Amino acid sequence: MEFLSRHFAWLPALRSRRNADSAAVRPAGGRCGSCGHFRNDAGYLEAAIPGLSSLSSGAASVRADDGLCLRHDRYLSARASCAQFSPAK
Amino acid sequence: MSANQLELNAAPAPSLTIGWRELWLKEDWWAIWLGLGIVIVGYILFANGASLKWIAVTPEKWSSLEQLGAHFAANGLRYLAQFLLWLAIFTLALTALGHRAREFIPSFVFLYISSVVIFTLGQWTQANYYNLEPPLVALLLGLLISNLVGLPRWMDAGFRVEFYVKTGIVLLGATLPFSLIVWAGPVAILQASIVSIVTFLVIFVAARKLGLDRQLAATLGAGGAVCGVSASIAIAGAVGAKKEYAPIAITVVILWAIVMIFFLPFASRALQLPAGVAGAWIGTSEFADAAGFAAAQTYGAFAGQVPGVAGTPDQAVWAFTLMKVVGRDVWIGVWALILAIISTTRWEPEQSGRKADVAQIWWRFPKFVLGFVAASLIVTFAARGYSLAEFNKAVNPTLVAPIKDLRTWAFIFCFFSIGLTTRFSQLAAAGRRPLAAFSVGVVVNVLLGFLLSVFVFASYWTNLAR
Repeated sequence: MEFLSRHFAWLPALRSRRNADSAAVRPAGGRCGSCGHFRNDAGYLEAAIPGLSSLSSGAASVRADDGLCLRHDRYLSARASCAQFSPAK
Repeated sequence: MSANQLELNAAPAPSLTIGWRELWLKEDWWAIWLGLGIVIVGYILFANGASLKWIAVTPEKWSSLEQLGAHFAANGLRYLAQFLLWLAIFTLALTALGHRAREFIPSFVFLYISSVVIFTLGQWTQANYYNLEPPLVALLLGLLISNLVGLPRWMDAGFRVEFYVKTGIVLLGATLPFSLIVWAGPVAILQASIVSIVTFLVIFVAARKLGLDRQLAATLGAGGAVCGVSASIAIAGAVGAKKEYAPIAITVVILWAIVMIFFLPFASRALQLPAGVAGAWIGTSEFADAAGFAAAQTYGAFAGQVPGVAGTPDQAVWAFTLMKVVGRDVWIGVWALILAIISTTRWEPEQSGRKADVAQIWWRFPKFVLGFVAASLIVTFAARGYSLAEFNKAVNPTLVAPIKDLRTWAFIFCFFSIGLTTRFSQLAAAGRRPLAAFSVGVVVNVLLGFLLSVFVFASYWTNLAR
């Protein structure tokens, strides 16, 4: 089962199993979208990411609700989560 | 703006997902509301024997300053009304998107006046001889102003490249028969898919061979293969890239996109490609919608004017649109899903807080494409029952042509804004390895796009809409 979940985790059923497994090691907490370290305001991102407004936009649908995590210096989905979650004030 | 300033200026963290608020918080939807609004008003006027023609004024062909003066003297009120129309609808949309009206309005005044000058210059009877095509003039003038003179940063509120191009694409849908989308769409998807997959793999493998991180390689690859800067930022989010990766990819994409705005039309001209074939080539080998429209519209202006360039301006723009928008842009969500799955299961399985969600195919879908298709359906519906002769006599001049003229304005706002917002000194330093990896992909992309457009699928693109 471990082999299957490692190599075929893209299968939805196995992915569910994998997420259930990983939930055990993931501390309880909110998702990035409601974390104080997370920024996904369109204007903020256009200022933070040089060139974004030149041939695209912070308000484009393709960007979904992704944003910058100031804690880990990553650009990622608002639906992600991590152990350093800190509720937004 | 420094990182500290950004932190100070940052808004509080927003709610988890944007949900239905996307309808008024994303520019794609505003492009639909504005573009379809214009098309629907145009249709209502048409159905009642009237037209948008009066307000869709454009500069006429001219060969002397006297002619030019007479045109503006006779049509000053129409230009004023059109300016007020654009100002009202764009102010509404952009304030909803979070921009300040007090910044947007003066900026748009500058943009509109400059666009009138650029459009007028392009209508000079000698413009083709001196290569004064409006897209190129707008781009170069904008680049000169932003890089040599400089404008206050707050004026960027009016230089919304993507918003203008998306509005223009929705309006373009009204000039494209729906049957043409159905007929040529599958060919465009096939050709674009071949080029996109090959380009992505070439850039990804080249980047890995050069020692770059997999996430950066994917971000670069998507920028070259799918839809330029938009694809890079979408894939950066999907794979949870380090924050410096998206700016690196964006720099490389912008540099190559600007090179291609000039290279593709002039190479096509030198090779005397038919307008539809060149449009398809530009659609497979340009990296961003806005840059691609600049190239396609430039080449369209050569059609029928430059000896040896067959076809019509519409064929260049339509082929480009089908290839880029239908063939490449709409698949960004699928690319994001696949790369998110690979990223979370193979590259960083220990990052258990991220997971690949199938719903992102919809979240990331470029919604303005829905407006493009809806506009095509509306005008196709309006034109039902008319013979070709009747269409050309009744429907085209009163319904389609005014929408096309308004589309041309939207694109000029876009082209000028590209130049005005591209400040080379403020782009992130990309480094030689990302530039080299991307450049390898560009070479393969251009050659493969040429091969497929000029040889394999040439009959489709040459005969588009004939």
